[in-house]
Amino acid sequence: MSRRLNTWVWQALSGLLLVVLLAVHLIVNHFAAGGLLTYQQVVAYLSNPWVLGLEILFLATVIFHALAGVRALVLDTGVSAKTARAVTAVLVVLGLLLFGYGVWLFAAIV
Amino acid sequence: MVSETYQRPEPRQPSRRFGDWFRLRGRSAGGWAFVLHRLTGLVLVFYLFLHFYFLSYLARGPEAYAVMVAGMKSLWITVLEVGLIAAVLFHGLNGLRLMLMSLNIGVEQHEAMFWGTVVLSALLTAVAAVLML
Amino acid sequence: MATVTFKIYRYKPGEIDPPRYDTFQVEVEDHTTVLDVLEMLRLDDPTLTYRHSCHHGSCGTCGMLVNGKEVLACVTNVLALKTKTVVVEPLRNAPLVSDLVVDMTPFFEKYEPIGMPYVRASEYLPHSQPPEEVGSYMRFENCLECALCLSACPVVATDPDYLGPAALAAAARVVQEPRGQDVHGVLALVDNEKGCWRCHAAMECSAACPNDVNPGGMIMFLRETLLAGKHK
Repeated sequence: MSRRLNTWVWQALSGLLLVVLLAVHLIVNHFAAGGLLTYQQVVAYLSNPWVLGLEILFLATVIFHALAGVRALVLDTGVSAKTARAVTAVLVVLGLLLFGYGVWLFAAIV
Repeated sequence: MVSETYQRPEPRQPSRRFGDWFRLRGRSAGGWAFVLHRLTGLVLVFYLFLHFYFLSYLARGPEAYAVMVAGMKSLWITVLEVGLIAAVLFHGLNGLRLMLMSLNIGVEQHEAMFWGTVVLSALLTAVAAVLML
Repeated sequence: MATVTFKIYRYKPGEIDPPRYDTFQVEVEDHTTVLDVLEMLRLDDPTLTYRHSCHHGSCGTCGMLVNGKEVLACVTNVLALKTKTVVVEPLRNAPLVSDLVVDMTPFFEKYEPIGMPYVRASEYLPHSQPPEEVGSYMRFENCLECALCLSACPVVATDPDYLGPAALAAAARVVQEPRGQDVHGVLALVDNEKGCWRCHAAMECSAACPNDVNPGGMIMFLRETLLAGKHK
């Protein structure tokens, strides 16, 4: 395990980032000026490159944080080191697939 | 002197069932924080997958998306959404508490911080509920 | 003087198996402790098995669950519990030998390699002048090795490889007061996913500890130490 930046630290840092990104996401999507309710509003919102960049960052961060959390839960059950590595590999693949799906979805509408 | 023929019985191993972390009896405040953090986390992971599914409607065009959004306007869905906000708020605020504790800040006051997290989450959820209902 | 119902967990491999609860009506005085009750019950049932030694909360031998909470039975006053029925069970997360006796081997397998010295500088008597021949005052470390913290910990409950609060607190003490021990070696032992990073800060360990070890706080101290890179 590397000295300072282990999985736990990344989990904490991603969590910190999410507090900000999620707050922005929730306020813009649901509370500010009635929120984004129609397809056209979503497209207009994402046409701003800064917004799109932030949303992609949000996508990556939330996928990492969620799956790292699931991994921690699995590790807590005292599985063998081999099983732990297998679970990590599966979650990494799942995470990449979800991220890919999210980026594809953005590309499909922007 | 123990006789050579005496076979000491094996101790009975502890249960180590996965659900053992979920014990509710005899918990302290910090233990409640841990249980709630894990439960809200699981709710949010489940919601994340659900959210990805609903967002796929964006790729089916403006009309399909509009139909899906209209279907979300029922009261009980809005109630579930308030519950989701509550989960997000608790998980995020308690997460901040955990970060502080792991920097050895405020560890003595961790119970007070937990109750503060609960109160703040409840207040902000109430605000969100008013805005949404 | 009052009559209290006691439900005592019983287990004997091959004889009382699966475990059951035996119920007793016991007359207690104002000062009666749970350990006193066990001593009384044993006069009628000599097969009742439990550990005890000092009877004043300093050896850590009589750890058990009373009404679902980890306590030292010798200093747990029965009437102060304020319940009509008192449930007595062995500690959690440890192999069960018999009745209220658990196998402490897994505890020591994690605890001993840390190599925490048993003494520390004493913060008591700060203004007193030690006699000439005495350099400074020392006292025993707080940890009684009672394993109440391991019983309370939700991670120990599911993961047998987690180092656990007692060993991690001992490691923290070595970092705080090395006394010639290898601080880097000890930090290497805890800086992994079975060490101080596995903890979920439930702080149940500190809530259960009968002698101010504050294992949860010690684990947070270890995290701070490792994050700050203070011992490179």
